[in-house]
Amino acid sequence: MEITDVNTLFGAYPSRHPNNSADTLAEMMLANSVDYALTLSTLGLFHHDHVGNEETMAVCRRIQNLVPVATIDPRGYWGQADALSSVAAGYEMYRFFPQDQGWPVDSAAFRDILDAVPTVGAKPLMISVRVPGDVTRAAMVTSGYGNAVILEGVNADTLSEAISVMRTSKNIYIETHALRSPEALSVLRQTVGVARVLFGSGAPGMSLGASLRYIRGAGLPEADQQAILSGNAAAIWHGGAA
Amino acid sequence: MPIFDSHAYLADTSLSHAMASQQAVLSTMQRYKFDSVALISGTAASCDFVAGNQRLREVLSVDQGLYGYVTLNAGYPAESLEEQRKHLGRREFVAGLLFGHDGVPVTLADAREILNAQRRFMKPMAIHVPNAEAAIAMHEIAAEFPSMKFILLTMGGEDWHTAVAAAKRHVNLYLEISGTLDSDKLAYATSMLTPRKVLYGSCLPYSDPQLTIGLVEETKTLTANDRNRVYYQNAQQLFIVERESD
Repeated sequence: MEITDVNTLFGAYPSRHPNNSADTLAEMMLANSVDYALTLSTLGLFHHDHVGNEETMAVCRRIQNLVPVATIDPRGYWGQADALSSVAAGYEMYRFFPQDQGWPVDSAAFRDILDAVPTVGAKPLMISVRVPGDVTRAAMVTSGYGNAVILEGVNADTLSEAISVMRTSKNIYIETHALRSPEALSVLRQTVGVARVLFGSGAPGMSLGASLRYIRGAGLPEADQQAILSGNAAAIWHGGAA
Repeated sequence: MPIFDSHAYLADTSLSHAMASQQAVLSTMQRYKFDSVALISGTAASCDFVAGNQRLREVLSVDQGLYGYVTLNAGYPAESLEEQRKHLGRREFVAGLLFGHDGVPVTLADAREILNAQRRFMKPMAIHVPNAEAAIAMHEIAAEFPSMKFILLTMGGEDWHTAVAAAKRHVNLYLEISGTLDSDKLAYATSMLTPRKVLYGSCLPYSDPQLTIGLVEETKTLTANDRNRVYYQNAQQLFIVERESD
């Protein structure tokens, strides 16, 4: 069974994970039979988006199964054209980190980016959500976006909110690494189906083996597991968003 | 390999009914092949510790591997002393337990009276340690009560380095692994402390045991013997064997 991990992040963290390199990620993928990982450098999250994006691209050229993801930091965006043109080519997704970077999900600068992004290609985007309210704000801000919007970090406290926005916005997906509850995947299956659920781990900082075991041990039919682990991602990147 | 889950709740949640009753707990244990579990009352943890402990007591069964923690509350010292007296002499209750409340961790100043009383029961004390502040507070507690064994539930959350540092300094601290799923957490903790100081816990029904089992299994530095210690022997020793020898 092919496996695609849509949430990985390599490189140094300010306070932990000393061995969080792209090579560690590649080793983990090999050990867990993960075929592809969408990834980006922590430099782009914690230091500077352009610097991080360049490192991401360089690493993904070196390691074949890593798929490059670009990030844009709204705190440094005031409409300059080169902020977007540099992420236009070669990257397969845009990622945004409001909580880690300290800007609100409904930031006006973030809205400006979402308005401008289609001029260089409306690729799938992933936005981190952490606390109740983030999901609703993310859905409102991305309303009308012309590709998949993936919510990263949905947990037991925000699952009901995620289901609510998934019912009304058919381009909203969720990533699995923070779900944790034994029944969360079953609840998703019963409410909105699993076609918009994507496997993500947070590796190499977070345990890839634990995240995979969670999907495989959830008691879902084999076809649903396969959809979450790879089929849904393939539909986004090769078959268009639902 | 046998598993003793040292951190699970008797609790019904909107997402999961897997731990809602004795029957549900036994069925969940069977599903994950758990031999024993140390339960916390969800009611006691979130709201009413006296009613929660009483309800938990009705569910526990040593013969079926159902053990429990007596939840105490530093905001209610007199009631906590009464809970210790009522429950801690019983075999099925294997430890006391303190949570911080309203974002404030358990501190020595707040919990001294309860910890003093705990000594006469010769049983460990678990303390919920979700962050660095709570882990740092453990230094003072562990130093004041060096003969008492403490279990740090969730081992500091994202701040597990701080919890490991506390356990490195004080030999009477043990770490329970539910919390974050950082891939390097167990390798680091077991190398700094030895696998004897680390206990398996699931945090059921709020977290799927597959996650923490996956974390143990992915930690390649652990031998089969080490895993057996983490999964089972350490909890068995701490909760059962030492008590029986006492």
